[in-house]
Amino acid sequence: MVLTVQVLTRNNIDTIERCLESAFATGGRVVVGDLGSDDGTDELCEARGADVRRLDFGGDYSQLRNSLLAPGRNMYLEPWESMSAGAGRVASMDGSFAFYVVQGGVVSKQVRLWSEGTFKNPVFEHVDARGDVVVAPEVVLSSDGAPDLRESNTAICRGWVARRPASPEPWYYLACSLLAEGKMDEFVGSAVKYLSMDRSPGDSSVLMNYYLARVEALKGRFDVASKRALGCLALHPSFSEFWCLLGDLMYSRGGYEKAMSLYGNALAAGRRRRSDDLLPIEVAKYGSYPRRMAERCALALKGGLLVGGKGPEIHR
Amino acid sequence: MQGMRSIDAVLRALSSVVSSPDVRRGYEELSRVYESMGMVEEAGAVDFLISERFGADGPGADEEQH
Repeated sequence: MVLTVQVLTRNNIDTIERCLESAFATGGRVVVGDLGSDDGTDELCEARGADVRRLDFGGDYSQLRNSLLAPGRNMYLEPWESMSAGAGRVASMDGSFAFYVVQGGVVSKQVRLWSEGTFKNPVFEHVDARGDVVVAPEVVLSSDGAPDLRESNTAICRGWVARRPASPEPWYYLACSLLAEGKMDEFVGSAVKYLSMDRSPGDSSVLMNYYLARVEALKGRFDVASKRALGCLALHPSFSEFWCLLGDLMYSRGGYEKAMSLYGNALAAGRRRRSDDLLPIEVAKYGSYPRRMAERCALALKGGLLVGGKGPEIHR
Repeated sequence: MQGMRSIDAVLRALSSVVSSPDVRRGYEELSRVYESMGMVEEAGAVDFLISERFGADGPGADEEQH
């Protein structure tokens, strides 16, 4: 079955070459949708043999991406991504697969290869793949970043919310965009709105509660943060991120001995986490972070001065 | 309503673990609560934690670990 790899670009001259190498290494044909590059990205793609289409951005990435779909199997890459493992394996994969995406110390699993399905999210590249999705840990994408291609994701999400105010999904992505842009107060409002509307809470709710807990902790609202973190941990006791956050909260209150123990749980529990769940993994929370914080707790318990060095993440 | 009560039981057991994270008994109670709710995977995660933190055949279940 024919494989088509699609890439949306706009002024990605610094990263597009490696991305194209990965795309062609899958053995598929490569279609590039260019949103108005003026740095030579589109010419470079053409020179490398990609089918380049010049597109106008209409405020909805899913419409653009769906216009690039082709019969057979489809896959997408971002112009700042390259495949650090498994490119050759893709050619023999039939069905829908989630690949590992590594970016800034966070590992997520995203549907990137599918036989039947379309894009449905105007902002983020969420593929509505039909049938079962299999996680393929042997395929790993490395990401150099996630710059906006054309327009602020928050602006697009606000329009999406305006069109579908009674649907939780736009609120979820608006909250994510606000968080990414550091607009914390607005994030809290949108996240709470999303959680109040979500009738079938799942992994997205857990993730949102975790982000909310971290923001509440940053604002010094430790009781609210603890409650949310406990709710997350109740559903996923093997997630080191949640044990670390509870450790941070305990540390912030001066409970160094208990905090040290909670960081110990993070180190231990993480070894059991399933690699095929679809929630992101903050790599540092499974090793270096709780280890460093436990050492800091031990120093505090010995009466050492905690001057310099990095404290918990929830401290500004 | 039943589900809400069950989650409350998990949260109570978890709160006990977090307020006394060196006490093995709290983890065992949490594991029992998960099992009673049919949350086998979560119970397994807590059992794993117990074995990692306290050892499978470690000191008495109710003793504090330091």
